[in-house]
Amino acid sequence: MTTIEQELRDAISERTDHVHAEAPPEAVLTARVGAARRRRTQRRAAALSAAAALVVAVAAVALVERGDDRDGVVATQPSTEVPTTAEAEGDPGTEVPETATTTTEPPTTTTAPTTEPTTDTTVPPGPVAPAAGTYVWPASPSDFGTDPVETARRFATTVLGMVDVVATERAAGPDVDHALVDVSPNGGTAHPTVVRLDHISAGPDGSGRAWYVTSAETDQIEVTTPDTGTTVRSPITLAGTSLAFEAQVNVVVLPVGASGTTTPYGQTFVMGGGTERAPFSGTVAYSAPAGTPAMLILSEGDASGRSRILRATVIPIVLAG
Amino acid sequence: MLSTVTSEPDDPARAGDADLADLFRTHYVELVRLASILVDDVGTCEELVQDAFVALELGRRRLRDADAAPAYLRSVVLNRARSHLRRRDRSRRANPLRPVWVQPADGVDVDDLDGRDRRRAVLAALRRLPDRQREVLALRYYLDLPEAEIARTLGISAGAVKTHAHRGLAALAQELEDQP
Repeated sequence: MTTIEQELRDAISERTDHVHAEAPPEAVLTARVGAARRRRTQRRAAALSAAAALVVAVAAVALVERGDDRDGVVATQPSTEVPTTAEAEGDPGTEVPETATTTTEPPTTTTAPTTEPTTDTTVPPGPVAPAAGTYVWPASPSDFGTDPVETARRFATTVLGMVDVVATERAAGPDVDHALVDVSPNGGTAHPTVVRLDHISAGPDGSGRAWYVTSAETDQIEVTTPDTGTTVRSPITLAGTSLAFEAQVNVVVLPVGASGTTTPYGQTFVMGGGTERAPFSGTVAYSAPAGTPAMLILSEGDASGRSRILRATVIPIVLAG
Repeated sequence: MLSTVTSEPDDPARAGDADLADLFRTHYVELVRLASILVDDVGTCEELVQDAFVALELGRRRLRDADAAPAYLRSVVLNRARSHLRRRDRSRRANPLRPVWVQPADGVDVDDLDGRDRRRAVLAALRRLPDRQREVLALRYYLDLPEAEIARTLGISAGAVKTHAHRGLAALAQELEDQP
């Protein structure tokens, strides 16, 4: 083995030895597979709907033209909407009811439409997503976690890009319906970010708990504007106080449920305090459809380069477009 | 190319679940570490690997040889890591102010470094290699895969594996030697 080969082997070994990953519970994988199947089913349903609409449009044009040929005898019977249930795949306990609609062309005679729904339109009750502006991650109830600490850890790694996360649940208070989990990257060497979680019932019968992140905060980045859950317009006005490395606080606006690597709706940075807490202010412009639920992340980058973010304050907002 | 030899289980759904769970337990950490050679953010690596398992499960009908699953997973992880790096590079070009994707060890002074920093410089140089060279070297020097298995994972010939490995090592040696 040559010198460069040995050096390369050593470098790779050092890198991989410092990656302290462990396989998450199989339920995490099961949930992701179920979510992927549902997305695939929805895409197929959308494609079928589009194809059906195209067929109907072509048929309608043909009928109109034929009607013209018959000196104004035009088929004017309205279309009938036939609801069908979307294909159910994955875990039925966490299935979000989805319906697809296809349009069926009526007969060309003057008799009433005879097309009837051929599928069962009833869907089992399932967990409903929290209201926009009240949570940040994950986006879909089917991706909510079964354990608050694990959910907070996944949030820290996926959204904040923290590595080697130490996640610790704070002692439960009188309000057991909520959870506070401290997450600290780089083996717990950084001042923790507090992740706030809430839950919904996981099963249709109200059993089980499915946890999601409502917000997160570090006492080193305190945001006074915008307020949690408010509807904001671009550019968003930012204000608060902070203490961060080289005074820089990074700001991104991401879709609810996005990973930290998602292209943000908007991003900027503001300057607060570097050696002592100081006020910051600024604006961040974004481009997103009106009514989009989003998360506003104000963070301090990790100067060591290990994690993407060392600590952050994350608040849910609604974008007014 | 994946084998199409098949041996269908008695109950495909249940057997498939068991297979996926076994693969998950057995290969998850190894795959995250493989991805971490190429991608700095370990959280992203875990996402890539979990996505690979989801892809495996959704494409199970196309993958009828259970023995091919590890190679398939490695292939998906490398492909997604490559896509992630390209998206990241585009993002950096579009917004150079973005401070969160900084790669370590660019332009380090190798002569003045201790062993740890030297190894970081080697890793950084590896990450700057062309895609195939980088992936061949990662598979060879992390997983110690034989050329035939690397070829199977990357969908290239064994001869191409040799070529990429040779050129990658030469480029690494040249870059590290050229640093002041």
